[in-house]
Parts: sequence; C-alpha cells; structure tokens
Amino acid sequence: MSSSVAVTGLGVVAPGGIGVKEAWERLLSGVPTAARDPELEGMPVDFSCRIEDEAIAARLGRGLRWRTDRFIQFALVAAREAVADAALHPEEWDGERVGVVIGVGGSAMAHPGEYTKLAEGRFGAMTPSLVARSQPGMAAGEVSIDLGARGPILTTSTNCTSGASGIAMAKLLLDSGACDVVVVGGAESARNAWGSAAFWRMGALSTRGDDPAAASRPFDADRDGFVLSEGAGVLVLEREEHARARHARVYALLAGQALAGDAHHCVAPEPEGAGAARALRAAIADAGLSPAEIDHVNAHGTSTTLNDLAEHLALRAVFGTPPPVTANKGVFGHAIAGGSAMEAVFSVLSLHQQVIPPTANLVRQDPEIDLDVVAGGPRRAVLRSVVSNSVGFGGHNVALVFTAP
Amino acid sequence: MTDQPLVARLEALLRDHFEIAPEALRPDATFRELEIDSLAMAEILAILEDEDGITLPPTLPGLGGDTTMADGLRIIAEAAAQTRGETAGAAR
Repeated sequence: MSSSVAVTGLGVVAPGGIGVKEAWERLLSGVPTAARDPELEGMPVDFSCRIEDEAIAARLGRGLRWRTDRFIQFALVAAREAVADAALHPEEWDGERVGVVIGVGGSAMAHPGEYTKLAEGRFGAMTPSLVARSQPGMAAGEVSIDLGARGPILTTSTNCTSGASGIAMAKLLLDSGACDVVVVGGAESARNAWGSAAFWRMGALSTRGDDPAAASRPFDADRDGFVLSEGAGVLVLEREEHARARHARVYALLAGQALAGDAHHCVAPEPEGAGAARALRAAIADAGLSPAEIDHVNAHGTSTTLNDLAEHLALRAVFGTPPPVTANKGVFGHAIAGGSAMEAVFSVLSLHQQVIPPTANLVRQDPEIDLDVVAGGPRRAVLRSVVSNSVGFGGHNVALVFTAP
Repeated sequence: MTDQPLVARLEALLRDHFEIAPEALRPDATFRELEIDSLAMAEILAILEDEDGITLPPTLPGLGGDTTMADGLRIIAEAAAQTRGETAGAAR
C-alpha cells in the first residue's frame, strides 16, 4: 500500500467541450460528438470526434500554432486550466518542485505535406518546426516552458493507456519525493487522415458512416469498432501534506495505481482480460482497499467487439459482481492518450459530484456482457472509491484508484 | 532595389503565420522583441522556398536577433531579388 496523493486541479479539452465544465456537461447529456469530418472527406471512414480549430486557437493565444501540433495545443490549454483550477500561480511557485508528465500515444502523423516534400526531394521546403511540433516528448516540454515547471518532466507512451500510465508515473514521482506537484495527463490528435486510414485498415474502426453519432457504442450488441477522436485531460497532483499546507481544495485522492502487461498479442487483448485483471487487483491493493470497497468503474469501453468482451471478463474476475460501470467513449470517441487522461478527470468528477455519467448509444446491451452499465441518463450514487481502467494495444493495462478526500 | 511586394508578404507572414500582434509589428522592433528566433527565421526561409520557389542560404549576413524588422525584411527581400536575378539569368 502506498500513501495517497491529492487531486487539486482539473483541465479538459474535448470534442464538444473545451474546459472541464463544458466537457462534463456534454458527458452527462449523453449526446455523442461523432460527426462527419471535412478533413476525412472521401476516405473509407470519413467521420470522427473533432475539436473546432477556432475554439482551440482562441484559448491558446498568439504565436504557438506555427510550431506546435494539435496534441501539444490541447495539452497546453488543459494544463493551464488545471493549474488555474488548483489555485496555483506559476509566477509564485518553486518551479523546481513542479513536475510535468504528459502521455502521448503517437504523433508526427498529421504531416502528409511534409512527407510529400521529403519524397520529392524538396528538403529546403520542409518546415524546420517538424521536429519541435511533432515529437511525443514536446507536449511535456511545451507545458513545462509555458508554466515554468522545472522539476522532472516526462512523457509516457503506452498507446491507448498513455494518459493513465502518465498519472501512475506522476504518483511514483510524488511518492519518491522527487517533487511536490505534478501537472499530469495525456494529449492526442488521432483523427487525421493517417490515423483514419491506418486504424481502418487494421479493422479497428467503426464503419457506421450512415449514422456517425451512433457509431461509438461501448458494450452494445451492435458495436463494430471505435471512433477516432482528439483532446487532452490534465490533473494537478500534489503530495497530500503540500496540498493541506496551502489549504487547497482537494477533489479526490489518487490512492492506488498499477500497470501490467498482457504478454499475449500485438493488438488483440488477452481474451480473458487477465492483464487488465492483474492491473485492477494490484491498483486496488495499492490503495489499501478490497474489490468490494470499489463503488464504480470508469471503463475503457472502446466499442470494439474484442476489447469490450475482454474488459467485461476482467471486471467479472476481479469483482464477482462489479459495481456500476460507465464508458465515456460513447460520447467522446477514442482520443488515445487524451482519452485515458480525460477518463481519469471524469472519474474524479464522479466522486466529487456523486454522479455516474451515462454510456451513450447503449440501446441493446451485448447479452454476453453481464455488467450494470449506466445508460439513459446520469445516475446518482454514493461513491467513496472509483477505478479508472485503461487497456491498450501492445497489452498495456493501467488501473487508477481514486477515493473521496 | 528592394522588392516592396515581397516585404509586404513577409510582414503578412509575421502577422498571420507567426501570429504576432499587429501593434507589435513596428519597423524598429527587433526580431528578438518579435520572438523571431533562429527556428522561426528558418521557417521564413522554408516558406519562401516552398511557396515562392526562392532558395536562400540558411544564414544571411547582417540578420540576427538585434536586427530591426525593417532592416531584416529588406535584407531578406534583397537576397531574394538577387537569387531571382541569378535564376532568371541562368534561364536566359
């Protein structure tokens, strides 16, 4: 069992909701954000969950867009919101005691024009910002620069669990005493042409092009794959003594975390969900709790046939009869690293507001999936502890346990 | 002779591509004040090569952080005019 760390600030950039308040209201509404994407016109999958360019530009401020890709822009906006929400002031803090961890699954995918120049041998015409704008480690780097955070800065890249593994690593940094505060989350823009073609070609995406809003349907019998998305989630984590000493508002405690590998297949989950089950058990033990004390699971719920079945089996194995489950991807699609980070933010908000958001598009639950999936509308519940579960290609499994302060 | 349309184009790049506030774009502002560092300067040269077909050397004499916008844009425009002249001469 490890000591808890405090969650004192939250930030979200999501399709249909920039800022925690807007995104949370959208999630509670259960209205999906998937729609036709003009950037994907003519492609096999031409829809996504997209953030409006103007909305992010307005929040970002001047002078950053020419040298930053979207995932960096989302990380910056969400990090600023989380730090302000925590009532921390970068001009006053001891920056050497502030770390930054931003998970990023993949990047450098949104530059077909630059790759064309490369192929044509037009090297001098290539933008010199290509490295600075696209490398995964640049998200944490730019957030560190923006905030003046000079403690440990780190990027986690564990595919779909990259945001969650970042939060797990941030807790280890705080547990070790390496810093007092970590600005941590995940950011991704996967809904570009490269992402749409590549994920479609491997059979991972929903092809429900005639009705995009109904395409992301976790745990539903008619699910046929996930919907690409984009966004970021950021939390401010602090050593509990540090948060108490400055009388910070504490949304929740991050009480436990664990990672586990499937060691099974490159992209298919272990069919029984064994790796996910091991991460869940270890995280709950790290929090000093037993499975019976967990009141709610914020599931990964991608809406792919295999993933939802395996996750269901993992939850059955750990909990017997699992507590109420929700899957945020019904509304927001799959934002890879941004998704698992946002879902951690929403898990914290569920604890803070004692409400479980609905799973969008759950019309007819898969008869093979025996879970109490919250659907139709938000459900009020007494919540003392919530697990955020994430799984990813490569057999990555991460579980985070949040408890009421 | 200075290529006035090119100077105007470079000013537009600073305003629209680099998003420098219009009120900051004074002729006597230095590149350092405008936050046009060596990476941004390389970006200007890459855009000229990509969109205008003007290939300039990676460094131009007299161009640095202390150069004012007026002097800097004139230096780039003159170098571009010279390059164009050479290209046109070669074509002839």
